[in-house]
Amino acid sequence: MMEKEELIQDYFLGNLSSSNLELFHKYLEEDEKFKAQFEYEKSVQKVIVTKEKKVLKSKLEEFDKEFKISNRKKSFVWKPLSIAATVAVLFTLSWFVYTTYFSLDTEKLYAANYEKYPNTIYSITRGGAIDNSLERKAFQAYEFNHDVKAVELFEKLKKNKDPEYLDFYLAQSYLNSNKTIKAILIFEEIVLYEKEFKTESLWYLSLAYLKNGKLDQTKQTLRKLLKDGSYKKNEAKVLLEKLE
Amino acid sequence: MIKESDSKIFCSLKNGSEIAFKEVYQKNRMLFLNFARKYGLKDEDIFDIYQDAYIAFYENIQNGKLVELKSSIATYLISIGKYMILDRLRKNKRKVNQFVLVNVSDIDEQIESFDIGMEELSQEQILLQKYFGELGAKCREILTMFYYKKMNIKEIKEEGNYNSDNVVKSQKSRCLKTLKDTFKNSPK
Repeated sequence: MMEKEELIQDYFLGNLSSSNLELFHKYLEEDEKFKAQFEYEKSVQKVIVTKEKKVLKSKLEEFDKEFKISNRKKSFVWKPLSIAATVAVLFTLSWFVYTTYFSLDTEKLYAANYEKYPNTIYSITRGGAIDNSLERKAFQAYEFNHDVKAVELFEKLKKNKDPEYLDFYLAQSYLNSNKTIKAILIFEEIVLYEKEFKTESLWYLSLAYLKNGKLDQTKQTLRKLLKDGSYKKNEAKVLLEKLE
Repeated sequence: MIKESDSKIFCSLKNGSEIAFKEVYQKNRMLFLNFARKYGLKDEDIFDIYQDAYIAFYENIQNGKLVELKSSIATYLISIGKYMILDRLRKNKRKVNQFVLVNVSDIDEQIESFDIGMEELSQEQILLQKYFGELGAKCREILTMFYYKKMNIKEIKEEGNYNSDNVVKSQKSRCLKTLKDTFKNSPK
């Protein structure tokens, strides 16, 4: 059965060799169960593709709206002139966008702005000699910059008790162990559910986006931070100016 | 002839840069509009087709079918768009101008291997889509990585932080099964 599963898998990845393709068609004709499974997976694929296309399409519709608005403003210009102007504007704009963004060293900018949030939760020195709790170990790893270890311990800790602040420190640790996508997900969740360290998370979320080169999101998040937070306001302002 | 800037931007598109995604779209819009106007379509329809063509172009970069540019980005967009325009004209039962069909560029063959289609979902698939939306985030993620982004098991392992190939495989099977069971047991 494994072989059949792999045949279907290779089909979807476009990896079927010609001999396997033959086998694949043979099963499709002769094996009802195989055929049903394949057709089911085909449907799943179609469902997902349609969904993802819709997401992209709505993004493009937004771009078109922006375009139509900016076009309407200059519609009084003589047409050939306006086309020439559009071309010129697009050209300079794209050159500008290109030089500003593509040559922007986001890693450097990230490093210049990132500062690990201090452990304000758990005092490592407290409790005398016999404090071997998981929480202590986790925050100790955090303080000592053993970030991979910290991730592991915070995740473990979250299974037993899950105070809101853990998410924030977990995301910090992910960010420092180069698991940026993971960190982003958690910071987003903290912001969305307005958990503890919400404002701080906005700052770190924008830095995480920056680290991954997601400049649009970086700017959006910085703007949000400037609007409803007081944390790192000046830094956010300076960074936003650099990006715009 | 491929410009260096095209190659650079292509690279950014491949890496999922949102800025490149927007910039390339904006940059080629007028060009596409002017090209498509000769077929007597309304601007509204042309914008719609341009979106679909752009999505098809972008998706085929993302899913690894288009690995390297053989022509400029604009040529790709126009060639994909041409297929879609013809399709639209046929659907509207309009006579298709013969010169359009003869005008075949050297990347047409490559484009034929792309996933371009935008078929409608059947009633059953609409229901399946609903239940897909109700799956856990992890399941939606792994299935999207596999069926849409066409990432292999190893890539999913890395991207999704799974411990081993087998964990990915069994997680994927489990998600497929959960979806199937929910679908089967749903009131129809």
